[in-house]
Amino acid sequence: MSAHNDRIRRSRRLSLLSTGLTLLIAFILLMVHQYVVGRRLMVEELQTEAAIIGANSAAALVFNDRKAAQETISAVRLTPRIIGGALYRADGLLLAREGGDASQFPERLTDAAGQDPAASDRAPEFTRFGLVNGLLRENINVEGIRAGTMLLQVSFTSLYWLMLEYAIGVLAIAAVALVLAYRLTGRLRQRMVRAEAQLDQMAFYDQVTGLPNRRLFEHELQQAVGRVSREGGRAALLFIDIDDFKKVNDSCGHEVGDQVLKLIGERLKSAARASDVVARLGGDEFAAILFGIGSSENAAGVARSMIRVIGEPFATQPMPSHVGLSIGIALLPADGVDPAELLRCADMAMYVAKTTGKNNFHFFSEEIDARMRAALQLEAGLRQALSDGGQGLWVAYQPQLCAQTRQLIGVEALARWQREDGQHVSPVEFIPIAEKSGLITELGDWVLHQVCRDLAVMRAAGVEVPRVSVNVSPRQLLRGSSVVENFCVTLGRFGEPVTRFDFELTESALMGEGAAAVLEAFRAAGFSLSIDDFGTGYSSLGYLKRFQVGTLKIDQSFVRGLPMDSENAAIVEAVIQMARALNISVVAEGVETEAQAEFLRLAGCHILQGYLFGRPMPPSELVGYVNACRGAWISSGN
Amino acid sequence: MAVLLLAVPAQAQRQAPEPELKAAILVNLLLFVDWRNPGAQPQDRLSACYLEPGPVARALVQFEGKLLKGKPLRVMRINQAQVEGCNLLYLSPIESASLPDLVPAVSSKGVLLAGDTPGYLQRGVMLNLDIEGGRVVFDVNLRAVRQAGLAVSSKVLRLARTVQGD
Repeated sequence: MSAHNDRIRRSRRLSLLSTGLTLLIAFILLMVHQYVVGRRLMVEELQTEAAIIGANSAAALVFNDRKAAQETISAVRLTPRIIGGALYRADGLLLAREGGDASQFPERLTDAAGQDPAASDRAPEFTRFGLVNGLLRENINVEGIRAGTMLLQVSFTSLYWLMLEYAIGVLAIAAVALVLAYRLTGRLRQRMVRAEAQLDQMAFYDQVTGLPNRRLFEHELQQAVGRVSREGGRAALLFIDIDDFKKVNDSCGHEVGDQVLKLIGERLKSAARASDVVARLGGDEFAAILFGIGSSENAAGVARSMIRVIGEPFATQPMPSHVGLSIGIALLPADGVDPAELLRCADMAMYVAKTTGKNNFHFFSEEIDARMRAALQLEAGLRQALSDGGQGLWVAYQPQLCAQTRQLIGVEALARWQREDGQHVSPVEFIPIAEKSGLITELGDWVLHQVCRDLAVMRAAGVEVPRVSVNVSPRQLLRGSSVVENFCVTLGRFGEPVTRFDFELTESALMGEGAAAVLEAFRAAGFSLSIDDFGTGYSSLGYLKRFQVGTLKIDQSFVRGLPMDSENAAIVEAVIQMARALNISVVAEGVETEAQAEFLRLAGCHILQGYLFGRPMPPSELVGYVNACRGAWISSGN
Repeated sequence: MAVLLLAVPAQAQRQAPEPELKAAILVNLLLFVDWRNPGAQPQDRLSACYLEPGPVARALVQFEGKLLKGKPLRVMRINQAQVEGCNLLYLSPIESASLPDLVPAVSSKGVLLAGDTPGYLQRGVMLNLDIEGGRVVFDVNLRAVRQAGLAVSSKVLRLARTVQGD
């Protein structure tokens, strides 16, 4: 508010100054003009008067009539411009004088050069005007004959009085104009100042919450960094992400969403001290700078109270909204003194907080940094590998056998990655990174291509793989039905029948937004669908029927304890019973012992997969495996 | 020449003899007279005439050839029959007897009649010189001037001692 007034005051002073200066310049110009014009007019008038007096005194001069001459010249008394005058005969002798300084009118007239006045006809004008006084010389002729000379002593004093009068008038008018202009522009000026302040507000403040925006926040952070490095002390940078804010927008609309954002801003501010900075960086991201925190525990305390105040429901219509916070904390100067770096640290810590359960805060640490860097490196490497046409990537195949006959029924295709330095990267590491970065889509496309190429190679080696299961990430389903079209195009190019392919989805993928339409598309295209890791997530049995799921895969965590773990045994038996009733086939994963295989066979499981029958192997090995299998089967006499 | 002309009255004021002063005034007077209705006077010159030689007439002759209003001055002696060709006719005291004949004859002919004899003014002479306080003064008979079709400048009238017939 005081800045606003300051601005108005400054603008007012500036406008007064500029108006005053303009008026001063105008005043000076007017005065100069007035002086030049006034003096010229005055000189013209003087010359006219001189000519009149001169003409009137011509006869007196010709007839050498001193009395008449005196009468004529006394007319100069009538004009204040003329102080005195004198008439000289043609021979230069003084005939009559009136007023003025005697020194100006000598008894005998010579011209300027002091020459014989007889030559003064041809002599230059003798008239000279000073700043205040002047002497005007008028030659008097009668019918072309020189009759004498008149000298008039003139004064410009009256001009200066006139100028003074004029100046006072102009100054008075200027003062009135200044006051009027000031009054009239006052309101305009105020409006401009307000508009300026508004522009500032828009440039540096978030319009929804009224909090500082990212630009101002980065500036504040820069200041904070400078202050910490100058004065010592500690500060904390909080990176605050609102959990589940999207739900508020989806269920209540953006208008209500904005209101909630505003309330969130207010609550966050209330949890911090007045001297701290709370800003909205954009979307559902906020940030705060806490100054002068003694220990990191104080920063944690602020984070906790922020989480607490945000945990209170927001009174929105039609139903109250609940959101949570994930907060990442970076400390100054411990975690760095570069604003961008600090923001990155807090952001990473926030990400950790979010992944370790929402409504949580987490301090940045070297470990997080290392993990993040490793993840970034992996992501870059994977991106590179995919753009190099799958350099270092390959597909491993794990056999799936019939539980009854131990005959090869199919294989599961699994992505594998060996980095350029020869190091194998576990799918447990790179698959989540691919999912997070969105690379999973490209990876999925590449895997399907590679499977087709491998099938062709194995076919050439005399092995026809009956069925291939390929994993599909929920992320891939986000692209809609186009993912199915892509798959069909790929298979068509290699001439593989769709019936040979089975796509494995997790239960959560089924529940995803828009997944239903994509799954319908898979079915419509003739692919069969499997539910991967069945029993570990939320299952909807209705979905199994709706999408005509062909296969359930029992997660290996259930298979591991078999047959001794009675609970797992009960679950596995129940799943198998249900699947059989629904006419869905069951695959058991992670089968490692004959006892497990036997239990599953007796329980009615259709297909077995696990190290007992074969690890995931490259296609070349698979060819040998299939041949060996076939031989064993033939030799067993079945 | 102009200086010479005007130098004469200047010196006359102190030492010039009276006739020369009178002659100079008469010649200067020509500068202030307009001949409104040109009569028999020639246009290429100004004629100052006299009938009988005398001191003033002699002084007038000294101005022969002087340029006045761009015209040369001719000073000549004439007889009564030639009066109409004159711009100025000086009548000396000797002509007192012939005034009754002369004045009616030229009163409307555009001839400026000037004299220096007391009483001439009342007898129809238009401009009469006199001496007063050691200075030459003159009186004007304005009615006679107008009758002659002449215009005498007010500047001169202002200098006159008396102006009659106004």
